[in-house]
Amino acid sequence: MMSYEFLMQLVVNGIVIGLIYGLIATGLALLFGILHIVNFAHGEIVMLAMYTLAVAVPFLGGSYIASFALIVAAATMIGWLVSGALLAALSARRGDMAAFEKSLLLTLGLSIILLNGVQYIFTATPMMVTTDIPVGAFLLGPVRLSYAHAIAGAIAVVVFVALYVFLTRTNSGRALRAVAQNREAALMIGLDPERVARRAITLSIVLCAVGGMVLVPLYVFQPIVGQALLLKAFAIVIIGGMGNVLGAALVALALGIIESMVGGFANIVWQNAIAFIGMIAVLLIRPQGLFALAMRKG
Amino acid sequence: MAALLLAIFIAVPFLTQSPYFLTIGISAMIFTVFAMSLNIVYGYAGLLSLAQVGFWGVGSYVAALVVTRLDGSIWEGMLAAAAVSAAGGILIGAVALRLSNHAFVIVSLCFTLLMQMLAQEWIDLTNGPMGIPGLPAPGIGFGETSFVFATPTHFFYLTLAFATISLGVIWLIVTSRIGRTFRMIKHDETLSCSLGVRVTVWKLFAIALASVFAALSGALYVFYVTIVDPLIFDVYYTQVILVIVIIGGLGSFWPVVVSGLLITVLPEILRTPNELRMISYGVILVLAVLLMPTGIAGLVNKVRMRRPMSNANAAESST
Repeated sequence: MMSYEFLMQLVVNGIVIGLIYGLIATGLALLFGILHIVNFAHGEIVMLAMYTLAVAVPFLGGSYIASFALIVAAATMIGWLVSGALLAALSARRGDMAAFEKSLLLTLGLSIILLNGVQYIFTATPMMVTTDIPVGAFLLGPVRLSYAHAIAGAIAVVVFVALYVFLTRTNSGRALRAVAQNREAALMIGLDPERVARRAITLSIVLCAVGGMVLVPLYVFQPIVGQALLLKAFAIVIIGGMGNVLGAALVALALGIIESMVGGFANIVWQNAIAFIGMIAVLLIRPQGLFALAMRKG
Repeated sequence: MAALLLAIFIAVPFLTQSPYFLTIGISAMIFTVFAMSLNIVYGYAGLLSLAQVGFWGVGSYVAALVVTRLDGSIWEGMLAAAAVSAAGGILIGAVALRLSNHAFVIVSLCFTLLMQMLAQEWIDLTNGPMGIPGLPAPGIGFGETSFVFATPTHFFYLTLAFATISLGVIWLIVTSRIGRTFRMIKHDETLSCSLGVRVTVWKLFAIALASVFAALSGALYVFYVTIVDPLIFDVYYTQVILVIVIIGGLGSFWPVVVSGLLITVLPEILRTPNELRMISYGVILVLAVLLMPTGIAGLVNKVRMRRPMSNANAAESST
């Protein structure tokens, strides 16, 4: 049972899943780092992208790539609009709710509207989408890597490289990091915090959409899928250090591999508990997160 | 206010024997206690906890397991549920509060989601998605004579007693020094620290207290519906209690009781499919946060501000 091939197979599957977790968790880390808000509808946005893809694919003659591109474009536009509305809602002065608390309650309401809206339209019946991705697998030595997994992994890697280049090599990306590091100083050198915030929200929504769409060919899914992903994304963000994008990506990758191992050798109950156990352990030992440089207060 | 409500509720079974209306009354009372548990930790102590539904579910599973596996009575089950939940609450709180109040929100949500997964997948213990059906009706035995709360009317009075005692205890606590300490911590943590209040200890106490009442109401609820399954952890319940507390007004007592009764009764009267009902709760939550984050209590206060001094007694009783 415990053969080398089996182990390698688990690692490869784990890397692909970890990359997908990374797409979803980095969006969340970005929001927390820059705006100090959480998005409880994060998982539902992933789920919405999955269902949109499921609807779009048959319309576009089964073409996965065409639907993918179309939805990324749509997510960018919707993200930009939503970001404006969200910022307006958060800055409205009524009562004494802090932005964090307000963002939390608003997105919680939104997540329930989205979840039940999708459930009402599509029902909770598990959904399977047939795309034009051929059924088959590469053979990497003894390890099988299905085309769907390969495409998911490749897209995730490309997105990560693009994200890295954006955050470190372009001015708008540097502006995002500047605001995350020190909001006041960023204001002083003339950055427009509203534009930076809108960019961050849009980016986070697009990352979600991509994460959802690469999941579609891999799994049969239900509207509830977003909830389980949200749990993992939150755990990843806390383990990596709240607001730390690179930390989130690394932890996501590790979580994918560990989960895959645990799923291969132990009960499935443990597979889903790993993220939570890891989060509790990190909070006990190093509450600021594995990759945080300094303790973030409040 | 309290006496009036109590009188109305005692009268209900004399006016109608219809199990339908009694069921609405029973769930309204249970949910009001459940929402009040969230109000303790969120409204008074300022810690938004999404673990309330987790404790409500854990409490109901523990009670159900004590009765079905260990042959205990429902009362022993409820006691065990309260103990387990309080311990769990302190554990989670102690860990999450090491980082920040923000981390507590996230950890509390993750706790609930994890418990739901455990209930679904730890089949040896929880029977998985099938749940544990056929929970017996609660009964009381004094030596030879015993009494079983089998009919809806009996259960209605049992729930009424439970709600009265629970809300009474909560009222005593939140209007006491402890409640004032909670509010002070919510208002200004640094100041409380500097005045020698042990902030983390009091926060943990609020969390434990809230989880006990969530667990008790959950346990009573599943013995009414006679089955417990993983749906007990549904985000639906989180949403209902959040809507109740926010519409009522964070950190207010009577407005939350009123909104608890209203919000559980209204959707029953306006019969709608489940998904649409949940969507409407979501819309209510979003609108409430945007338009009236201080809830009914805020509106009442505003009216009172315009007519100063005329209603001093009511002001006492509404806090």
